[in-house]
Amino acid sequence: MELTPQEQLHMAFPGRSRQIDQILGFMGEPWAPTPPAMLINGNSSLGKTAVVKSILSTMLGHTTPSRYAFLDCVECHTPRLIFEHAIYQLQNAPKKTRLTTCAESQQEHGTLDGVKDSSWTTTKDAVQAQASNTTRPGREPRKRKRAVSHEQPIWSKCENVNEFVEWCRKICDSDTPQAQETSGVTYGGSSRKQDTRYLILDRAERLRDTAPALIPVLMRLQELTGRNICVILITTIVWEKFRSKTGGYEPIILNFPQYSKAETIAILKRDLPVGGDEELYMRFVDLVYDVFQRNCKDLNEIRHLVALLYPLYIKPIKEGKAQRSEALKLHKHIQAYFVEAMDKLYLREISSAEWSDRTLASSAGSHSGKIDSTLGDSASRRLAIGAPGSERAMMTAVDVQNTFDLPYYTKFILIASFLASYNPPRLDMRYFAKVSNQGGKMTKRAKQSAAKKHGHDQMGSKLRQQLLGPKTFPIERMLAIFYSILDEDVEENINVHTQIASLVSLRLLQRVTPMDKLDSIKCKCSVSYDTIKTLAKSTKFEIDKYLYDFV
Amino acid sequence: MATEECVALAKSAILARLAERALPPALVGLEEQYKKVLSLMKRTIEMGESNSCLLLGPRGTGKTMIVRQALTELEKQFRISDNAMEQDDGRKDFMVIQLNGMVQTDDRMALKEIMRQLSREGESEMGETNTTFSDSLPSLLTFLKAGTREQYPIIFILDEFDLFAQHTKQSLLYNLFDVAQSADWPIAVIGVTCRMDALELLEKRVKSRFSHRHYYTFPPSSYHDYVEVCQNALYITAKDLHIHREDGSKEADQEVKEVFIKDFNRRVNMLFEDGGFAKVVQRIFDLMKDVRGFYRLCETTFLVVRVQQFGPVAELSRTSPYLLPSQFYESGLQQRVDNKTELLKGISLLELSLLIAIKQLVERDMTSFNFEMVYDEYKDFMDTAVVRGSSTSTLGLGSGGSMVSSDGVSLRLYKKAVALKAFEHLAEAELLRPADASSKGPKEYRMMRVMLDSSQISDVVLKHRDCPTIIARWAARR
Repeated sequence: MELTPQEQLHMAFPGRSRQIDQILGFMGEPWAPTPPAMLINGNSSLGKTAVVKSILSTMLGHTTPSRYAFLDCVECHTPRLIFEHAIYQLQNAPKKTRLTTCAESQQEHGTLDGVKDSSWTTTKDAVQAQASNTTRPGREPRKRKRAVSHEQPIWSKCENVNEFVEWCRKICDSDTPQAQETSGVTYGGSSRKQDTRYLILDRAERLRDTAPALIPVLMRLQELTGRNICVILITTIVWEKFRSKTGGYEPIILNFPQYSKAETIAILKRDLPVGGDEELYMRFVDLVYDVFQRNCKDLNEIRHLVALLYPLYIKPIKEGKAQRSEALKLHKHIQAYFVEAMDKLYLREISSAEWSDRTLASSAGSHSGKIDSTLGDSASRRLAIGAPGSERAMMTAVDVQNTFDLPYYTKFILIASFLASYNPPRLDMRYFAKVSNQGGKMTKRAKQSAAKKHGHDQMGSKLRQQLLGPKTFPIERMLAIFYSILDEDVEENINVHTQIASLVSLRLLQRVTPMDKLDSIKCKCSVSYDTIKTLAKSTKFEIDKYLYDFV
Repeated sequence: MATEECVALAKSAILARLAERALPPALVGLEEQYKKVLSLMKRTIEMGESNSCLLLGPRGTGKTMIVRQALTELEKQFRISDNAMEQDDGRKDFMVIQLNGMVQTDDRMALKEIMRQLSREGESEMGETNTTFSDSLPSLLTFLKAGTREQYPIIFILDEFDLFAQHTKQSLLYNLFDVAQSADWPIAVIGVTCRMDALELLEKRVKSRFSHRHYYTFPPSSYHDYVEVCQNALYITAKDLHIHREDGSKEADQEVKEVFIKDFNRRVNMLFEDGGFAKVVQRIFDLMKDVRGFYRLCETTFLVVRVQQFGPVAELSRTSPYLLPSQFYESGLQQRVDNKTELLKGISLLELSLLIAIKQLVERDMTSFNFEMVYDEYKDFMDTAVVRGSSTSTLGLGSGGSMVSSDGVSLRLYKKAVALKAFEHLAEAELLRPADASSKGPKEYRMMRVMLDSSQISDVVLKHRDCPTIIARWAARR
């Protein structure tokens, strides 16, 4: 059964048929005139880039030189890079996403697959990093390869808009040599049929910082060049943020809406591990979706969760503690993990690859320890593990923040700076003066009354220092507090200032005064309350007694 | 067969017009300005007069269109054609040099472009030899000044004129106007800009050399005029369908085409008589009076139309070869959608909660806030909600501070780190902005401002797909 490219695209992207149709309609025939510019917006992970990319490679991927240039504005962070990359891509053959030796239909399929593989998954994810290493070689090696095997790729210099416009004309005219143009500028409509060139800028919001003057130019590139060029911007923010002061041409806006439940599940279904039980898997996916969808709209995050939690879900089955049909039992079993996963949502303290390695290591003893290495897919590898004793591995991620250790006195310096940053100086006398009888400890009631007196309650106590962040303090004040909270006498030989300098270089203290100023240094403490609490605990110092207006 | 061809041609003609690459069949409401600009250019060409003028008007009112129309007209009259190669007996009556302030961002570049366009016209050999500004300017000037009245006139079109005025010293403008005034080489300098105060940007010495001729264009003043302009863009003409009167070879074909044109234009008229369609157009007119607004509507309509029957274009032509009003309704709606709310519909419950917390803060006159404050507000709410909730309903989803609210939705207090991610996501979507440009220190304490109205936030809560009632009630609270 032969599918049309359009149907193939629909198959590849569940829930995006309407958008695909709209973009295809927008493009029309290869030579059809298009509107000058289009803006595609929508939240992250809605398939904007993937859809556009695969549409282009399916519809225009076979023409040489390429009819489109796909640029990422993060990669091309100066106008010059944008110009040169665009020219390079438009002058050379389009990138093939996969093997070129397959039969035509297979190749088509492969192209779609490859795009799907790499773009559906988040780039930040280690899972994807693994996958893309095997399925899609990166940009750099490819370029080098081609340079060796084929003719030298042409890399043209282009420094400014003027040259770029000229280049665009040249490139567009390259396929119609018979119609030589002398004036270069068309006043009326030229009816010559030229294939439309597409210039796609991904993450276009970056353009506003890197090349603000370029946006109006791109919007009317078609008018400026007088050629059939269409600019497509892909971004997560709304067009209003792109408008410049003097205004300009407005693009057509196409919005990618959020996926519905059915669509999300259809996408998740593609991640079904090799040889997995589809019914069980779908039940699990349904469960994950219901639990997480309110708070996690990011499809990639849900996919990550599914891949992470599915092995745990089916573990009781593997161990023979439960049957496949016992949904309730399985549900109860997984619930605790859901709660923990909820707390770690989006955080990715350890990468999923690391996590799977860890489960692997801990399972090696009890399990046979053999992974089926032929299964390249990391998800299926995780499935193959299914070993006991490892379930907590994900949860007990190393708390990097709280493991660092400091010398004893340095800890106190840090605590003293924290106090100096968050306590008002006027109360120092009360807290830290050793001469007074009350020993500097404020009672809880005194604290509250002080807070009330300061008028904090009217503002809903949102202006307390705890919430406002650290204040700067002079080093001398901090040192005074340091000597006060340290019960014993400090030995002569410890060089306090060296310690301060090393804290600054560790970024635990932030020096506010410039480096060339040696007198009256001022600092800020940039350590969080939680960290300082663990630090204080390790030195058996009761920090809460000294903090003013903290909860 | 012929009809299909007609439809395809008509479509591409109209699309080109909507994309502003082709000119509409007629100028509507701009005849006056057009005549003046044309006669100015004509005098330069015919009598060797040097002239300068400015075309001012808001965006989308047809300034560039006037110039382009005038140039095509002159091209017709004075017969310099694209195939200048064939008749290189030197009978070229005028040259056009087009510059755009957005493209030629400084004088050096502009000069280079002038050289390039000149040398392509075969007029000057100095094209690539001079690279620096100080070298090429004198050579261009001596070149221009050496000329006499008998020289080929040059017409300079300076699009985005105001940007040229922002170049340092305005030396390009000064020299151009100077040449225009000294009446050596006949040139016409035509500036086009949307800045009404463009004249004020000129330095005194530049201003005094400018002829002070300016023409204004305005958006159509009444709805009737607006409709006329819009209608004009959709009409098709004989030229669009490539009917050449000269070759009478395909008589029958031509007839079909003419019938099609008549029919199509009649349908366009009918379209504008349709009530629903008129409402959509009226709305655009009321909002911005901009013809481009209508153009975009049409373009989106073409999107939708072609969606319905993409594959075989032939199918389209047989079933609905004409524009139908109903096709415009949907795209009219689509245009009206506020994309910000559209984006906001897709935010998660946690992000929504943070937004509500922000709203609560803003309503207490705390316009700038940091993450810690927002999280504290959010925590306060969740604490009370959980306390209230746990007394009435059972704990859902096991332990960990989560609870099931009355409508069966689990609410839970998220850890600070997770909430910070959500907060950052809001900032990434530019719903939040840093209050001051460069604030150092931990990001939790960076002061931010919200880019939404508190009513907009309430709106989001109402429109959110599945917002638990307890959150909605919190949002409504003052």
